[in-house]
Amino acid sequence: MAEVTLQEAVKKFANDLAKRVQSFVNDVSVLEVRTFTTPHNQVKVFISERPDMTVIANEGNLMLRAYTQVSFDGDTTLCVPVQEDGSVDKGVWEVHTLTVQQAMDNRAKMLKAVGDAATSALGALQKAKE
Amino acid sequence: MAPSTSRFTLSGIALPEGEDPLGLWTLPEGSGVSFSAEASPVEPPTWHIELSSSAEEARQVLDAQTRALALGERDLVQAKDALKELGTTEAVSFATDDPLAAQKAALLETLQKGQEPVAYGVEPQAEAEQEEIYRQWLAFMEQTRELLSHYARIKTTSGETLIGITEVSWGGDFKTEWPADLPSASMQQHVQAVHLALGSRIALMRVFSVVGTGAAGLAVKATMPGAQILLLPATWKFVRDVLQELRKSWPQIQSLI
Repeated sequence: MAEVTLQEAVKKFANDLAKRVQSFVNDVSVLEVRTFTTPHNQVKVFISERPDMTVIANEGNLMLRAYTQVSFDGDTTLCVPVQEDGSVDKGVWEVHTLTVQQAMDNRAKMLKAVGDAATSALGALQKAKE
Repeated sequence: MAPSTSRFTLSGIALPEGEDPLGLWTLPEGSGVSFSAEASPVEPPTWHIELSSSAEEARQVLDAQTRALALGERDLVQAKDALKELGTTEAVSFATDDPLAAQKAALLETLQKGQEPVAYGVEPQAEAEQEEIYRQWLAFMEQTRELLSHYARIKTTSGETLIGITEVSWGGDFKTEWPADLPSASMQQHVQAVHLALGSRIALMRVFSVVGTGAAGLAVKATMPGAQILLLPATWKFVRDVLQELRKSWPQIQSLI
């Protein structure tokens, strides 16, 4: 009885991970990184447990300051934040580029971790059937 | 050193015993009660990093937590290697100074019991413990799966001040919100916090892989058809116990957490 339940749970886990890997393969073409800023009077809203980002954005209290889109084929789209005088906002830009690097690094590691976990779960099921 | 006012909290998932297997994050009280495999979190997994208003202390505690993550990853590799060693078909002997001797012996004992044709007279206490480990493993597997069903939210605060919020889809798209005119040093703190949170999420996935792969090796040793699936809970217990044991030898960085 316990074995069946365990086997079902592992199967569910493996199937879910396999779907994730599949969706990743479909979505891998683009990596997007968005950096927003918000006025100080919205800070308490953000600290609350469940801030409604859509409402905040619709009310104009969330400003997209930098955007990067990296395509699988290497094409990259950048939106660089500038100040009122037209100069680049170096503070926002610096942290945005750090985040882009972090996103690319994380994506690679995450795919490997999920792939390994799915392989491990599928391996367990395979053995169980033998 | 005075007690730190910094806290690292993981909410939105219910890990077994209410504990992070890698010992990096505190789970809110009560989050480990439910072992229901069907339980789903109300909120997305949220890593909340509350930093001291002292910039120096915040830097120290973030560096300490970063070191702790690296140590946790190292320990996981050690657990994997120990399982590999136990999974060989050759006889295993433990050095007297092996810090994991007790955990290895316990796992081998479980393996030997599983090989006996009929298990008579299993003590009720032992049976209850096995049942508990079994439920813990199911819960861990379910919560690991849940980690991938939602985006990760990482929130860094200092007192009542928001430093940054980042949401990361499982595929890696990032969305970060910052208060306007935030100092560069604070932004760096949040970037480091995001690194910690995402590294921890990946480490939890690796715990699953180590358990699954380790159970496969043990099944070969046990020469039992279908043993791998049955050995998953016992292997989970081994990995959990090994991580706990190895954490005892960490430098005093835990006092900062």
